[in-house]
Amino acid sequence: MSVILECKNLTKVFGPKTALYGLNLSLESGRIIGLLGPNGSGKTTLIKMINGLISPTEGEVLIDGIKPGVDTKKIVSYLPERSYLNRHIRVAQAVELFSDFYEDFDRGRAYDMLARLHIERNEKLSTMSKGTREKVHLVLVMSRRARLYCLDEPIAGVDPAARDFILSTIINNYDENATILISTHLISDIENILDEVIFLEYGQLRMFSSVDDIRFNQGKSVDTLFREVFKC
Amino acid sequence: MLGKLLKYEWAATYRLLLMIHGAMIFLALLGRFIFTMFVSAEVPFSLFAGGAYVFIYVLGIVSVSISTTIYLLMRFYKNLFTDEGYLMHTLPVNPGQLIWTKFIIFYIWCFIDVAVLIGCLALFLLTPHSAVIFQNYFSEISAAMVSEFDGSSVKCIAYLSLLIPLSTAVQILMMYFSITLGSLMAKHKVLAAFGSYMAILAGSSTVNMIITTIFWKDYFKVLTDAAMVGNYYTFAGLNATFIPSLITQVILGAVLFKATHYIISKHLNLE
Repeated sequence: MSVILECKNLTKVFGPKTALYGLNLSLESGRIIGLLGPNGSGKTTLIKMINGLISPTEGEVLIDGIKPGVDTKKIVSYLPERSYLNRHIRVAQAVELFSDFYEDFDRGRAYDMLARLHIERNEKLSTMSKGTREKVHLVLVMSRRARLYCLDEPIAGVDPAARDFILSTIINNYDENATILISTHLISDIENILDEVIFLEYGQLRMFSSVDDIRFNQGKSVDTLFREVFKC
Repeated sequence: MLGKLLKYEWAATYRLLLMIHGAMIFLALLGRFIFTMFVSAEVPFSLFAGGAYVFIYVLGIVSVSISTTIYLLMRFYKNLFTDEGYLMHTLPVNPGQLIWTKFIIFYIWCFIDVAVLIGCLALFLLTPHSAVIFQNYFSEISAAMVSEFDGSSVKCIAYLSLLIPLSTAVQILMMYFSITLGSLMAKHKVLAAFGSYMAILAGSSTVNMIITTIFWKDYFKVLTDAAMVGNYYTFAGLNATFIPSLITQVILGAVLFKATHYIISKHLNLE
């Protein structure tokens, strides 16, 4: 098992607010990891830093030993919380775009998943519901054979049936050597697929544990532990 | 990767811009038809209608040019600093390539704009009679310009060939940098961008004036000497300030590009 993600004393300050402070973390490849924490705990900040959208104030983040840049973007597949495709394009155009820019993009897998979702290639994103658009985004992201997947709230704002589809897509298209980092509030929906969990609070690492350890040694579900740890 | 970015950027922008420039060409043809068929009859109403059409057409041309600029600036902002930025900045390309892509497409459209504008005006207004008037006018202007370069038309052409494309490039970079600077604000981004642009423009004009003062010995004489005031031409001082102006534009362009690149690389602030 190699280390795919490493954070060394990672700190990010936005004016008077410290979003992340002194974060030290090491994630091995071949895991599905839940990034959990209350609102404002630094989850999205961490994910943005991994994807090179934000620069650290102090410390560093390394993906496969490299700082975020062009080379790491080739091996990291990112699903942001928001819809990032131009709504006027068609599904086929989005597939072509991903195929053009990412060498690891599997066009056949993408069209296969879209077909199973009954999404037409010529359909415009602007004519789709929010949930369907999010499925298209997820299909594009999971059709890449990346080393690290960063999914920021992939199941928020979609119906329970769609959530099941998204989670099964993640599992079924998961490469054993890849790592999936999922940020979410909907812990009970997702904990069955997680290998490890990271708890963040006020920009700091509160806990990093395997799900098995929480369940068998502490005798609790991750959801129960989360509610205890972050009790208001 | 730059080629791919250019391909997608062109595909995303050409339809609308092609339509509005096409409309401009159509209106030029229509205007030509109106003038040929009706205005030449010199009926008072048709002359009035013809004059009104010219006025509206000129407004239309100006609007098309402004619309092209605004559309491409909005595209720059929307594609790099809003939700679409989450895609653009996570593609395996560097920030420099993103800026170059936007810049090249904008630059191409600047030249298409000018070419279509000149073509449409020619289509609309050129007759054997008006051609002579225009030719005389351009001959006077050319002669005045060439005389400023000690009679060397080669120098004059070199000046125009270098300064016009360079100035266009610097203007685009000025606007891009202003928008990038504005994106750093939490609120009032458009106002901040506009304010930055005006400040940079003022600074650039100040530098140009300093260069003119330093390199053009007759500058103050032209401003103050009563005997020379009447002889002041638009192109006076070009020869003296030609090379310093070019160098200044190159430096300004490089600084603006680097500054835009730095902000996007290190201080990206997506909405």
